[in-house]
Parts: sequence; C-alpha cells; structure tokens
Amino acid sequence: MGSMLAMLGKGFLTILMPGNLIYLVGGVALGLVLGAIPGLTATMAIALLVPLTLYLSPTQSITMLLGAFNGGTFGGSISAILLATPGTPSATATVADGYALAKKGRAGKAIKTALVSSVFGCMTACILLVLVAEPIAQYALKFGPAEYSILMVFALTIIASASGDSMVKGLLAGALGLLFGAIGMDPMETVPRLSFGSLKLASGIDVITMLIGSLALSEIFVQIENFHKRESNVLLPPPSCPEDEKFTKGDFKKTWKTMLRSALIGSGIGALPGLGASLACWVGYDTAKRTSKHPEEFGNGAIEGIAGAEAANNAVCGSNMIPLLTLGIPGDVVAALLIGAFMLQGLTPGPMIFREAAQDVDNIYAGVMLSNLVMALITLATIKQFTKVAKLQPALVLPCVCAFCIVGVYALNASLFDVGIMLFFAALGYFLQKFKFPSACMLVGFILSPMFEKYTRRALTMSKGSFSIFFKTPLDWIIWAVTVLSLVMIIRNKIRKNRKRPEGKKGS
Amino acid sequence: MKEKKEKEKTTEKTGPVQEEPKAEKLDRVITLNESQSNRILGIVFMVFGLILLFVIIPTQIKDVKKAYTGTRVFPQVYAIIILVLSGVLLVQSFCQKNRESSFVIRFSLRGLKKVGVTMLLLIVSTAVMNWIPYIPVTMVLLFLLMMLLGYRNWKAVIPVCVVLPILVYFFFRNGLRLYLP
Repeated sequence: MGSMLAMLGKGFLTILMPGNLIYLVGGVALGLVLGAIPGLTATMAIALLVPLTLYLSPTQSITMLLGAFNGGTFGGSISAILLATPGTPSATATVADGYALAKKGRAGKAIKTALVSSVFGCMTACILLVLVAEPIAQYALKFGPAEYSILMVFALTIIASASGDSMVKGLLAGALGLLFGAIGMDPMETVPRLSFGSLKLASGIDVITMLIGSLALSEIFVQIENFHKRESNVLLPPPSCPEDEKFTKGDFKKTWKTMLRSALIGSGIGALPGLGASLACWVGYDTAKRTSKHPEEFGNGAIEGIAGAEAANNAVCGSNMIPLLTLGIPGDVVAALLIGAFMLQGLTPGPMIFREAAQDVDNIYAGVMLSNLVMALITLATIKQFTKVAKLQPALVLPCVCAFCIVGVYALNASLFDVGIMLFFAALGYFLQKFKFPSACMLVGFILSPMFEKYTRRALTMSKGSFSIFFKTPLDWIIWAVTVLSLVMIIRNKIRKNRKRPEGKKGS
Repeated sequence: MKEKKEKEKTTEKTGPVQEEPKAEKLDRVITLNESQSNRILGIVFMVFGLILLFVIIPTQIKDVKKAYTGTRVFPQVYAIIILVLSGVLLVQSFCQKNRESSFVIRFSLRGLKKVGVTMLLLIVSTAVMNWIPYIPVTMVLLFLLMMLLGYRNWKAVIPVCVVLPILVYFFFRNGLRLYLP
C-alpha cells in the first residue's frame, strides 16, 4: 500500500510538470468545447486527438485523451442545461432537471451542481480503479491462451448483446468487426489475408483510421443530414439572487448521498464491458429519483436529478479503465480508442502493463484524478463563454472537423491511402447508424479480432487441435459459467423489456 | 426589444434554419419500418456472406493446411456467423410483418444529397492532394462544405477557410515535423 501511494505521488509530480500538464489542460479544454457543442461528442474529441499522440510520451498522450473524455462527458451537460440539447448522449438525463433549473434563472447553480457531481463521480471511480486494478491484473497473469480466448468470447457476447435494442444487429455488427480485424497478415503464418493484392492492406487496417472513419466522420455525416432540424432556443432568464448562481453547502448536504450512490453505480457499469456512460446516466438518474424524498420534483429542476445523472456518467470515465488495463478488453468505444493510443505508444494494455510500464500506469491514474481539478478550474473560469460555444453554428464547425479527420489520419502514416480507408469506414458507419446498428459492437469486434484469433489458435496449437483445452481447468469453467450466466440474464432482460412494451410496439 | 434584435441577428446568420419550412415541403422522405429495413439488411448481409464464403475467401486467402487451424478458418467462421445472423434477421422481418415497428428509418432526399456531395468532396479532395498541395485543397474544401451547408456569414467563412489550413499546415510542419502534401 505504501509503495502504491509513493508511486501515485510520483505520478502526480510527473503530471504537474509543465511539459505534461499542458497536454492534460489541452485535452480537458478540447473535450469541454467539443462536448458542449451539440452533435460533437467526447468520443469524437478523442478520435481527433489520437493521431497527435504519436508524437507524445505515453503519459502525455493517455492523460490528454482521458482528460478529453472526462471534459467531453461533462461538457455535454453544459449544452443540456443551457440549450436543452444534450451535447453528448451521456448527458440526456441531465436535460430535464438542468434545463428546468435554467429556465428558473438558476443555470449557474445547475452547471455547478453538474460540475461537482461529475468531479465526485470521476474521483470515486478513480479511487476504485487504483484499488482494484492491480490485484485483478495480478490474478489475470495466471491466464493462458485458452483462458484469454474464453474471455474474448465473454467480452464479445456481452458487448454484442448489451448494445442497442436488437441483439441480432449487435452480433452482426460484432461479426463484421471481427472480419475487418482479420484483414492483413495471418497471425501464425506469413500469408496475407483479404488484402486484394494491396501491399498497404496486407499490413492490416489501422485501428485509428477505422475508428476515426466509423466514429467521427460517420457522425458528421449524420449531423450534416439532420443539422438543419436543430431548434432555436429561447433566451434564459437572468438569476434573481446571488444564491441562484452558487452550489452551496446546503446543496452538497442534500446531494452527497445521491452522488455517492450514482458514482458507485457508474463505476460498476463502466467496469463491465459494453454498457457505457449513456446507460450509466439513466440508471443513476432513475436510482436518484427512486430513493429521493421528493421524487415529484424530478423533471422540474431537482438538483438531485442532475447530481444522480452526472456523477454516474463521469464515473464511467475512470472505471472503464479497469477491464482495459487489467485484461486488455475495451469496455466501450472510448476504451477501444484508448487501446489504439496505447498501441501507438508501443504498449499493450493487459496485466503485463503493470510490470512493463508500472510508472506510466500510475501517471495515468494521477492524470485522470488531476483532470477533474483542471476541468473544474476551466469551467469556473469560462462558465459564461460556454453559452457562445454551445451555440456555435454546426455549418461552420462540421467542415472544420472533416478537415481535422483527414489531416489526423494522414498524420499516422503520411498516407493518403489511409484517408481513403477512413472514408470507406465513414460511409459504412453512416449506413450502419441509419439502420440502427450499434457501431460500438463493430469497433470492439475489430479490436478483439486479432487477439481472439491469436489466443485461440495458440491454444489449439498447444492442445494439438483438441478443443478440450478450453474446458481443462476450473478457471476455464468459471469463465464459461460467467459467460453463460450473463447471456441468460441479458436474454431474460430483453424478453422482459419486450413484454413491458405495449403490444404492437415489440422490437426485435 | 433587445431580445428581438438578438433573435433577428441570429436568424441572419442561420440561413438554413429559416429556409427549413419551405424546404421541408419540397423535400422527399423515404421511410422504412423495422421489418422492411430488417429485410433489406438481411438480404444484403446474406449476399455479402455468400460472396465472402465462396468467392472472396477462396481467392484472397492462401490455404495453409499443415496448421491445426488454417489461415482460412477464422474468416470462414465469421462469414458463417454473418450468414446465420442475416438469416435470423430475415426471419424476424417476416415475423414482424403484421406488428407495428418499434422504429422508423427516414431517408430525407435532401439530407442524403448533402451527405453524398460531402462524401464526393472529401474523396475528390483526397485524390487531388496527390498533385495539388494541402493548403489550397483544404481551403477550397472548407469553403465548398460551408456553402453546401448553407453558411453565408462571410465574416466567419473567409477567415476560417484561409487561416485554418495554414495554421494546421505549420503546426504539423514545425510542431510535429510532419510534412503534409
């Protein structure tokens, strides 16, 4: 414990060095701005930043990206409060109470409540991350190729079934991702696969190229299709007294239990693959409402509502690092992007990272914690400017983001061929989104594909082709049991959900 | 009075928002309900899975037989999964036939046209960067995209189109030592 704290202290000192701090501040600021603009998400902020990290150290790059994620997740709530338009999907639960408070002239109080809750949520998750990540990783060191293969199956099934309304579409998107991940050199033999004679495709599709195309650019296409439908907003009344602008001690006393509860819920959701901040905000909000003494105030400007949603969604920022760092499994799209960033730095997330780059891991912990402080300072200093940022015209912003996508992908390998690949994935991602396919499943499938194939084939080579290797040890059986159990629970929940819907509105 | 002035000011800058009611009437919208979209997707993925399994994998992956799991095994498994799931999607689409959909997919022709033109502009600008330098190409690209999206605030359009590509170019060249085309 002592050495852990010493390493963490060293991490704080490293991050506070100007050369590192500037990237953290930059990441948080960009995340806040992009998160506050409706339609541009925290994920997009990270996707645009990843190519630049090629030129940075692991500490600088990962803390910058996590700062952008944290800032972007909170930034979404600013436009939710000021414009009743959530800047990011994870801020949807904040709209009802946040905007209701703003309409009463208490926008300042609403934003500060969201800020305190977000910081509280993320800090709680970070403490959990520091406490549980290393013990889990130590245990994961006992895993062999067979255990990893089963773990990948577990991750794939959970992700595919937990995302979206249709399990079939989730699985289909996952399979598509697995297939794209198989393009390139065979992991065991020196044979190019599905490269169509192209030397560039023979080295595989770069994860960042694919992610920027199918996440950032495809989202821009969706925005371009719909942006003219954006509604103009009414002007909000000014505060009637100084108290309306402040988050007071009384407010903290009223909300701290809600914050803690939602932070723990968000941490749990973030630590499980496939769920993410969008779900966490609703579960946090719903729990806050159910446990409140005044549930009737929810939707009419209850600060507990804002606290419940915001503590839960920002808790995901810290806890989604748990499966990523300990097992190398991306829990959501942001974690998938972070895997790409780790790989650019020559680091492979998973249990070995605690041995190979222990200090980098502690720096990352310190960076995420400090990102909360940076986020609070930037927000408090620029709170009035955010109204202008949130009202920026998409017709001006979207072309600029398009240009950044092109230059970002080009920067990876100085290759226009990669830009072409990005455009292909942008078109594919756009159509998948239109047809309600969870593109997160495709991305996670793509990330897991090479690992899944490598571990499975290695296990089969060890067992000389016998599948019994996957059922050999008690650990294998435990992972299989967890996989089956979670699948049964997901299917049961889907059936319940379908039954709850009115007859005639049943989905697939 | 001040509010009214501010509103007028914003509407001046947001041309498309004001044109919308008129344009909405002219716009054609294609709607697909859940079962229709599932049927289309089922067919598309089934055809893709079949082509993958019987054409692409045999021609694009050299088979290595000495290994316990050959080079083609995993792509073939993925193709089979795609085939099976597309079959399930097709069956679901027929079962849903008489039920009301849980969602409707709308393709606005105006929106699709904008997306198509944006895509085309991006492809063309990427292609011409092989011969024409980054700065002029990006300036033109930004200008055309802003015009396409109906942004006519010249005070913002011109500085952004001119300054942004130059800033990006010099940031990459001097800051990151990366030479853009």
